[in-house]
Amino acid sequence: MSVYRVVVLNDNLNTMTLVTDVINRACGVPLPEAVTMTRQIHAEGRATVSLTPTREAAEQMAAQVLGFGLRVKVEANR
Amino acid sequence: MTEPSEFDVVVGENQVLIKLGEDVVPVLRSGIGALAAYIDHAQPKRGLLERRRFERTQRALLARLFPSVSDYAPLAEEFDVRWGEHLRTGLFAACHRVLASITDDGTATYPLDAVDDWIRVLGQTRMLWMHRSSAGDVESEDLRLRTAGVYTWMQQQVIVAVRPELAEVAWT
Repeated sequence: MSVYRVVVLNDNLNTMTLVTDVINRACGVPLPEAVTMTRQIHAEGRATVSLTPTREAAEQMAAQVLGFGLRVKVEANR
Repeated sequence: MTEPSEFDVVVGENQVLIKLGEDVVPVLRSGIGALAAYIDHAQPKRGLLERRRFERTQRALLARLFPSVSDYAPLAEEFDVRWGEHLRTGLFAACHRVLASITDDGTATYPLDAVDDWIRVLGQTRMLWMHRSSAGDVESEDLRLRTAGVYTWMQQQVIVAVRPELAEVAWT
């Protein structure tokens, strides 16, 4: 069975406040974890913000994140 | 301009009131208007060379606004087929709603549950001048950097006004 990861990537354009807000609200990650993920993105360049069983769900979330101007990838774990 | 002389965000129960200084209104109208024009697929009639130049700029801008979600080209293309138009038309409509909310006296009243329009549009308009290497700088002598910095600053003000708990996060 495949699992799809939604990965948010670092950039120097968006503030950490915006990244946290988007991960929290668009990806449904509780705020403390969203803050931790934002720190990880800043330090390591990327963080997995969601695992979904379907590509459609991952793409829907990625589209929401893209809409706020963040860089995002959908990756399959087979 | 450096930080806007006036940019206050007041959050009410159902609405957000954004007070813009006189210096901010033309900056917002020109920037957001330009973004909307570039993502509008209804091309105005132009000469061939001008149209090609416009389309080249438009393609580059769209690639910056909505970078590929996959390193595997077929998956990226499928995503674009499914979501690309939705993203483009959504941003286009948000640009026009935000523009329509800005009055000549510098007051914008917006539904609280739609204030993401402002957050998205302020962020994405910076792509007219910036790649992803910088959030801009309100103190810069470079007009593009300075203008992008003003947009970043305004976006931050809107976010923390709506979600004050985010202003309390210590990032350092």
